[in-house]
Amino acid sequence: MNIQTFISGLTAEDETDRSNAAEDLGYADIKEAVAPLIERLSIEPSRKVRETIFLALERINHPEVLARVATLLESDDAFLRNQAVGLLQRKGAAAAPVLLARIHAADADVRKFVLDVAAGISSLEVEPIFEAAMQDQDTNVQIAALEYVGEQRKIRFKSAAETIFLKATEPMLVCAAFAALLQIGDASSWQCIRQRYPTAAIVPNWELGWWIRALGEFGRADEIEVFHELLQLHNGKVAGDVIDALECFQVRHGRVEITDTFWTLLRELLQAPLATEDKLQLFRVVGGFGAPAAIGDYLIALMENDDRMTKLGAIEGIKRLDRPGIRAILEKRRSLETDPEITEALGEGESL
Amino acid sequence: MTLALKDFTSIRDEVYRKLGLFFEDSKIYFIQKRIEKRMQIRAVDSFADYAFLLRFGDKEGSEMQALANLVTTNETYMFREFEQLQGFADHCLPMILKPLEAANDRRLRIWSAGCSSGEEPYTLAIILQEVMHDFRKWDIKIKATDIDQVRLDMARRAVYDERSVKEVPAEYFDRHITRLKDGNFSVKPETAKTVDFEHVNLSDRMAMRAMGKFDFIFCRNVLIYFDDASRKAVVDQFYNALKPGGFIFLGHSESIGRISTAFTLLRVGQHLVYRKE
Repeated sequence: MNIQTFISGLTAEDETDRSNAAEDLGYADIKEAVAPLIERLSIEPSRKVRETIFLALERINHPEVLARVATLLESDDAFLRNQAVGLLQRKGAAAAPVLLARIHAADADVRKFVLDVAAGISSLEVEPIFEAAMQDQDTNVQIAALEYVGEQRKIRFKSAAETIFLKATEPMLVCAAFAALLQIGDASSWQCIRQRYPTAAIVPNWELGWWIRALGEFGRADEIEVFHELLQLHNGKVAGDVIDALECFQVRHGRVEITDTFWTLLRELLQAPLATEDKLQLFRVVGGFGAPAAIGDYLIALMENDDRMTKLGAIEGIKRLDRPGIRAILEKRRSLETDPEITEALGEGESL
Repeated sequence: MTLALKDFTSIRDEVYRKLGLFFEDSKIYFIQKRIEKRMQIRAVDSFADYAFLLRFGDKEGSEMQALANLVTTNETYMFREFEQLQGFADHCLPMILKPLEAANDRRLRIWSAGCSSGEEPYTLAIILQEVMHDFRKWDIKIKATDIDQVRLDMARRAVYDERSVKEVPAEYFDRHITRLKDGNFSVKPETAKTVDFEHVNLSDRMAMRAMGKFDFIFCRNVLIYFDDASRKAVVDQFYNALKPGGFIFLGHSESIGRISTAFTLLRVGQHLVYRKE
């Protein structure tokens, strides 16, 4: 069959015949098939045939496909736009020229779609699209750019994200920059965050979780007391975030020491009704502190506790203690226990 | 090291995006153990890093496939995913049979695509004979296809070990299965004759077009082994091969929502099925 037969098939009455014609045009893999397929998209009533047309276009390896499909990013039809984004992404770096030609399109939605396509392409050729989007005048484009550079850990955009974070006034933009910095930031980003929010007390509630995570990710060892202040300030409402951040803090700074009053507060938290996973994590965290020594005594005493989860948590904390004779204590306890999960926990040694 | 819910969600979303497989929160322990294996092999230290590797560092999709092989079970046995089959028998089958009967058309066509050694089509044959009180008055054909000739030969022999038949309901067993002297089991000829086996490559578009029209297509735990473009093409052909109102059944964790929006999604008990309107 020749190409004209397939093109005629696009207007057949039967849905399957139109679908087969589109598929055959895709396999024909020639430039002449592109225009009829694209033109059919705007009038084709069957959603399924439209999907087949995109599949056919994807099979055609000719720059004409890229040029024509890129114009669909300007379509009012969400189906066509979404399919175009997907197709261009799958074409990879080959789509870069038609995307670069649109990074300064007048319509902000088009710029956003171009960015969406670029986000699905792993190639340096689309990097200028991220650069442009980070400086875009449209907030939505900037927010999307921040999300993508964060998610893809594009560290070279750290300074740009910091600049946006410091200058932005719209809450959504600040949040997006905050989230990006948590992915691509470093110690200097923490300075930038402290510049905007010198203390936890002035951080808006919706950003507080990120601020706490940032403290865990980037905070200095001598800022350990800030966690204490946070728990005091918010009455344990931020406990989950603080526990996560403390674990992260310990990974970077090792066995930091805490004050007696901070330990008292954490001990109260261990006795409070926390979610099981938070409590288990907190037991691990307290076992990882270098001081005070009272932490170890407390955890060892809890091995006598009747509550199974408390006992399991205490064992996890004890295993992280930096104290001589821990292994012997755990082994001795193991001989007294019958619960298989607890004896298994007692048998596994671990050091910080 | 524990798998935080946010990292689990991130990995789960990526598996869904690439393979159409979805795992519920309750599967976190099961998934964690398998991800840990892959992390060990790939020398990745954190779940967040593994999620990143899957999303941005796996251009060829080989890591995703390796993970898929771990999180999916290749074992095949009769009456696998029993609840889904119940949904087929109790809900979907009547929806097809009633209008056929009303039109005095007593032809029922079912396609088991990627049938492997035949457990699925024979299961369907058993179900139809058990739930259709007037089974003999119907012209029923179950077309079972696979790309693997060796598996098809096994399927045609219809001889299985105990593991393959362990889930066959006791009340059906003796009517459809014979115990052999060597300890194996065979499907009785009367049951087996409803099934026709054929060698078909799901990626061969001409062979797919020639398959004819079906009321049901079963393609469970097969599409995950295809790349994105091939998966789309196969689903495209399934659509064409379904009669209007026909159903397609995928594995219980599988979805084609990301591949095609042409089907209507129906909830049948705990399972989702796709229907051509």
